Amino acid sequence: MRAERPAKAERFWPITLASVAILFALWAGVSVLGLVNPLFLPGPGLLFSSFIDLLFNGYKGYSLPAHIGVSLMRVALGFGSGAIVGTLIGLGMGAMPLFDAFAAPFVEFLRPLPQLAYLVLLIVWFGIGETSKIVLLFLTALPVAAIAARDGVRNVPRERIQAARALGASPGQIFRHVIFFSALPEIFVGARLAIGIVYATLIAAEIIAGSDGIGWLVFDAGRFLRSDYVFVGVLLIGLMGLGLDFGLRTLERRVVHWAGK
Amino acid sequence: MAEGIPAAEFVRFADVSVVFGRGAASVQALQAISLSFAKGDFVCIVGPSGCGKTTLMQTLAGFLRPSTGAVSVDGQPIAGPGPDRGVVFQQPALFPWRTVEANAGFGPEMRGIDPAQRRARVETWLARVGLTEFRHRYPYELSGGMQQRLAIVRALVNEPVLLLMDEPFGALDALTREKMQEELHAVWRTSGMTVLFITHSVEEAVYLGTEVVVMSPRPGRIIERIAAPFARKEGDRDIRAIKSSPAFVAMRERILGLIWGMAEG
Amino acid sequence: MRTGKHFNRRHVLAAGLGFGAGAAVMRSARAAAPPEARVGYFVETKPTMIAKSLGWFADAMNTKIAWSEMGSGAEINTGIAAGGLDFGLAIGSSPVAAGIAQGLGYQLIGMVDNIGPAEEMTVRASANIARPADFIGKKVGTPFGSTSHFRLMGFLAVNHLSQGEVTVLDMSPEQIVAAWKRGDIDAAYVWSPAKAEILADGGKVYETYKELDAAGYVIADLIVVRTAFARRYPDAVAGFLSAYGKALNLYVTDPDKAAAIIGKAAGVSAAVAKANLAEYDFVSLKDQLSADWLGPPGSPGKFAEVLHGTASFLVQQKSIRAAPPLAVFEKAINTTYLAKAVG
Repeated sequence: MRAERPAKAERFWPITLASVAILFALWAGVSVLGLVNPLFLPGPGLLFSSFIDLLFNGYKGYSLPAHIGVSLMRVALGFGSGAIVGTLIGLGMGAMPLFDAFAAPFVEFLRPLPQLAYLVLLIVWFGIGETSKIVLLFLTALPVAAIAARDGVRNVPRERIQAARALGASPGQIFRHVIFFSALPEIFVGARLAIGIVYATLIAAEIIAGSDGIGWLVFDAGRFLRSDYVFVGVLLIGLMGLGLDFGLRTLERRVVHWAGK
Repeated sequence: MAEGIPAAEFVRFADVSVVFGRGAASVQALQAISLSFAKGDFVCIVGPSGCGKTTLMQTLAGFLRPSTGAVSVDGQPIAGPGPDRGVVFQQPALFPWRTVEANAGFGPEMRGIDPAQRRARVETWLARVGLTEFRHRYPYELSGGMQQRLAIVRALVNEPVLLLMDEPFGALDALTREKMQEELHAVWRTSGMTVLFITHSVEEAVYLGTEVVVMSPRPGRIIERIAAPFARKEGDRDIRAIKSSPAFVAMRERILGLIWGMAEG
Repeated sequence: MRTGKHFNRRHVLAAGLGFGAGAAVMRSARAAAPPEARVGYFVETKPTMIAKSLGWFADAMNTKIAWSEMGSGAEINTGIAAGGLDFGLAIGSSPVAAGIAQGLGYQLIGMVDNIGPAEEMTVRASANIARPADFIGKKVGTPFGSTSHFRLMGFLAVNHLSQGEVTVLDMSPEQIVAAWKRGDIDAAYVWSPAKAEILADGGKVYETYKELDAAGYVIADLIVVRTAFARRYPDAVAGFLSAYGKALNLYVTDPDKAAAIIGKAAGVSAAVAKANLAEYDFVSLKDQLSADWLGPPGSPGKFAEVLHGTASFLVQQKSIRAAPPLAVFEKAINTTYLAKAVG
């Protein structure tokens, strides 16, 4: 328990590296040998030159950093607000059975709802500006965060709460000093789950009256089989997702350093 | 001590019964328990699983309200948990996000006790159980024995009049367990605190307790109270010598016989 | 998207079967009927729906047809490129220009309609838009990648308006209606029924098509066929076009009867179908063979230039990587089947 043992993923990094290398070699080989129509699978060289082209010339009126920036802003606002509000709702649900009974139907209903189903409704309610896009991401993150926080509260060991009560903590203090911190690891797990789903929803959000954003870029480029841009965009989205997840994991390790120990 | 309360009734269980559930599915966990003991006593409760030891302790801690009867400390009926009664569980139930120091000071911090005084108390107790050098560490960096020491310190820093311990050494290895018994005994001897101690180990109960209460299951009730002399024995406190003395072994075997008898009957 | 998935699964299998059968009968099959023809189409109010719903295409080709409803011209391009479709029916000229430029392996064999005023700018009457300069600072919605989008971009280019001055938003037709009702957009370039809905809701037509057609921004709905399919089954391809010609003829001679059939097939009333039909200029097969459109066999008409211009524009838009020279577009137009169908 006390001896630090690297996690599996860290010990087996050569295998991870090898899998990426094999995939890359397959891709390069197939495209160099001309086995596939470059419209379906652009080769590494074309992808690189398309990336450079996007980087220097932008795409349909906006520079590549502007597309990425506006997407990150949407993810940050949508995910941030959804995770915070969802966590608060989830904490309330976990702590107060009455509130749980009140809020559960909404949260449980919202969670599996396919976003594409209510895109038009979002336009009707929130218009075509940033609001509807951010609201979509907000609604995506909220139930995931709420359910994680609720379960986090429910899973607090009973003896931990009893110990705090016996030490003289008031109900409010127990919530702030014990329940909240006990639920924090699960809140972080929920946040990481939520950011993954928010990321997957980005394209849906940006096809609401879009004209910018990396998700819209991928969608738009796909319309005329501009597969080089599609691949560049998808790779960028993937890398951004990895980066966000890495950032969240680093934060998680720092904040909830005790989790899993 | 309040006036008119006999010294021997510092802690008093008066006809306490606890029933879980309702109707046909109900279970009588405790049946008409009456038990009193004096300030400064170290009362150990032993008995097979299901005899209601933990339930009894929970009514005193205030986590559980008796179905009938009443529990009082120093003449005051128990209305809920309070800092006058420190509780230690089998699992240390520490706050893993707090350092050793912050765990130890949790009670006074919540109760708004002056920080300087709080720090002084924490320092004193950490030093006493040898945790001073770990005060900036987190619980997960401690061994099981050290975690349980911290849990005890956390309860003691609150300066309770009563310490309730529910199999606190049950999860420790044999060697650590004996060391902890010695330390706990030393703390009790020097502080004069009143302790209610629940254990599965008859040997532990006979060594630590001034009195051993034997309970039987279904429904939980007291079948015998035995005064134990070893905790207050002066002079040589060598734990192995005490535990291997004929008087100790005889008492241990007598109590074990009672418990075995229940298992067979 | 739903239909796309559907057709993928079914037609990967069908492509395999078709290939096997084709190899088995070899050269002798040249004049024979194909075992199956796979057609990507749109549910819309056009005479094509007559030939589809009455089974004329299948009869004229002497085969069975697997119909796949598509969401956009780009989906037809993808379907043909993947070998999962043989025909694209009433696909827009923008995706066709892109497809030819990308070497997707299909030929342009006929037209359905010259879009003309059927896709047009609609402006909010209260927005006081009378001149091109009035669009500055306004929001215009259009489905990107469509012929309407191409026209709108042409409108901005012809009038020297930049995308910084006019906000052009990518919206599906139903999104346009929703945003219009909220007052979020001032104008839209789109087709009916979305166009009809916003016209009825405080919109008015701002005519651009004449000026844009003259400037080369002609848009049309076309018929394309996978080149390999056409080489193997030229009679079937000619039959396909003659079936459409027969349907168009019914519309010309008895528009009420045609509107009733089309409305039923498209799920709208005969009156709505008739109104929608009236907006389009359905060019007769004979006229398509004139130099103004596709031209007679071996002598490509003006439409090759339209496609070339469209492709060049799409390159500027970064929708495609490069546009080949005019000759490639001329070569992609093959009116031998059309000539055969006209007789």
